Amino acid sequence: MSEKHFPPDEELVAYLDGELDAEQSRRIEALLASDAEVRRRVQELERTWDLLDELDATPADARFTHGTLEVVALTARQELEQALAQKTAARRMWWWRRLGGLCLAALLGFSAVAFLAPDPNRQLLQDLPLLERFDEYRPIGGVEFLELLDKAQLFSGEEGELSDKKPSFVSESLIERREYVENLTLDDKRRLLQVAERFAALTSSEQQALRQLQEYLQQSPRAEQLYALIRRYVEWWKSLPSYSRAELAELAADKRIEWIKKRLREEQAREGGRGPSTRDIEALQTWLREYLARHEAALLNTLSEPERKRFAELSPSMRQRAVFWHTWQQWQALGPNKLSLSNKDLEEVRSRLSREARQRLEAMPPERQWQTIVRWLLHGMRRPAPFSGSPERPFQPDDERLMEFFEKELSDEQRDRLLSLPGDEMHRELQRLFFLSRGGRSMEGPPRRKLLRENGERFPHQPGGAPPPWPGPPPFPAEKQEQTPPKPDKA
Amino acid sequence: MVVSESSARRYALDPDVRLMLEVQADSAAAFEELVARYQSRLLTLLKHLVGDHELAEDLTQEVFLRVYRARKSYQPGAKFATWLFKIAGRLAANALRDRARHPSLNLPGQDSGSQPMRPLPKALQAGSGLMPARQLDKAEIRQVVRLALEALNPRQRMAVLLSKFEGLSYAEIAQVMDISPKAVKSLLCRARECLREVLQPYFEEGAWPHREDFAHDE
Repeated sequence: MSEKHFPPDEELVAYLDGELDAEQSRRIEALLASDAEVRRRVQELERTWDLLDELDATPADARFTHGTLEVVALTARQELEQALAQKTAARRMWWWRRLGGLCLAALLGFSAVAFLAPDPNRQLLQDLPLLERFDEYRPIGGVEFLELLDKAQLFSGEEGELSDKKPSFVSESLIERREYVENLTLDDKRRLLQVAERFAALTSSEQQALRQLQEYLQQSPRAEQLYALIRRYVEWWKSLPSYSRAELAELAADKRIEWIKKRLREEQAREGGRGPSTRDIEALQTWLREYLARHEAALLNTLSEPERKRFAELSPSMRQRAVFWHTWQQWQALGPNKLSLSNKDLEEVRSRLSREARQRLEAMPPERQWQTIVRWLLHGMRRPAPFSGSPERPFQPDDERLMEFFEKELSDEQRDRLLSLPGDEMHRELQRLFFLSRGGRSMEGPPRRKLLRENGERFPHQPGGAPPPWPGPPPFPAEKQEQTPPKPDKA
Repeated sequence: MVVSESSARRYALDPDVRLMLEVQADSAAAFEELVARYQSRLLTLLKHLVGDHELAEDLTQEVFLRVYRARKSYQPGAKFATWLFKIAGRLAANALRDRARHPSLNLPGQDSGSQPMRPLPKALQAGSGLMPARQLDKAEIRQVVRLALEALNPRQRMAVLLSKFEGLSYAEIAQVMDISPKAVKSLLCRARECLREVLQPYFEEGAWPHREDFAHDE
């Protein structure tokens, strides 16, 4: 057989493998068209080659992956140990020369071991960006709702607003995340752990939805605007009473948008425009704090004898809070104008507010003005305080916690009573009961049974122990919480 | 390995090279990603190369271990896959050599050449001469093809697997196997010819392939 009619197999195989240049390929193709023998040969080669597709693949399973990573982690550890052993065996001069290299090896070995060895905190590190923003993501729930919310443009805010709350730490690198977590203060670590526990308590589909939301935000070119939108929405969402939030949570994403639209319309009608600005709320809180400080003695005089005695035993800052709480309750029950507040006080309050807020108040009769001021203060209490997000943030029970408390810790009778109240009142009462159940310590944060156990402390209020000194009022407005626990009440 | 700046730039576009550079900077996440991307491919390749699942698993882990150990000296001078398969190929060759020194362990593709690779099903052997147009079931085809592949010598087998399943070009296979592209061409040609020789009669007549049916010509 001459080469002219029958090219060497190497050429045919290279042709089949696409390794010939255009000219060579054309030559083979011409032969294929004209020579049946060459055609048959190529077909045979092709056919047997195609049969290799029948070979089975060997997929690696999770066990195998885990094993591989462990083997590598072990090696990393051994490398480190070896490097350290060499260090001790080496001569002094040598030791100095190699010090730099050893430090590097140690660092390397450490990071490799730390990350490649099975690590119970791994999931936490992976979810860290999400956990950092859990309280903001939770009311959003998932990507679908965020997209609808974005489209609806219900919470579009001014640019630059809330710019001090940029997306926080979201490093891609697990090593950096670990460093970040390791450098947190003990309190922040506890806080993170609590959030992780709350996240873990969600159903897997809820968890998945939040992870997708995090992913979506991370990849979105409009991440910054979307974060701002989330914050504005959540700020508003926090001003809703618990039952409304619970109702909202039950709805599908599109129905939630409808619900929100309706609610916003109602609010607008009620407030005759926008709600109080953050600055006005802060001004009101400052005024209230100063007012209470000025009138503490007088206010204490309105108490019954046993109450006064109890108040007297409190530390000054606790007493301040207690007075606030007491006054606050009375205001809500009776209205401030029925108490010791005068028109002069009202004038003073108004003078501290923005022109817009002042004008709105001035258009109302005095009694309405006080009611509005109380409502605005209440609004401010439910809203995250200006320092929210900072580590010193006083503890406010979130809705989930309140609902859990409502469902699990109250009697049927208490629940019935609460449900018979108007929404706002129910929320207030529920919060009050919650604080009562937690005692004075509630000021410093939620009960941390697990963490306290871990730290060898006893849980502050043992069942059957001394009653708490004073029902924990809501956090004193816009004031940093004192960390010292109150003295136990012996009265 | 001397790497020119332009080739380094070229290969920096390979996402796996980028991952490997992250591994070099001690990113454990990148290492895990590489393991996830390549473990099944390596395991399949090595299993076909050494014909033993457990050994293939050990070798796959060894490959990753070597990648980890070599991270600091890694230079992006080629596609990441070619570097990885080069390591795998060398490990497989060593393993096969070790096995050859211990004949009690019968491995496919040994150059001892005189024994059948595997005991063949008696019924098939008996009936093999006269079974025209017999319907082959999937499992049977798979077994026959595996047997044919295992009958290639290790270098042919490596070239075939890299070409067929990893889609590597002759030049890339040459890099993996440390031979010239011309040698790859010839290796693949002989391999294909061997496969054709052993599989063709089977599918025409139902003859079960025997090792002695074809010769190694490495």
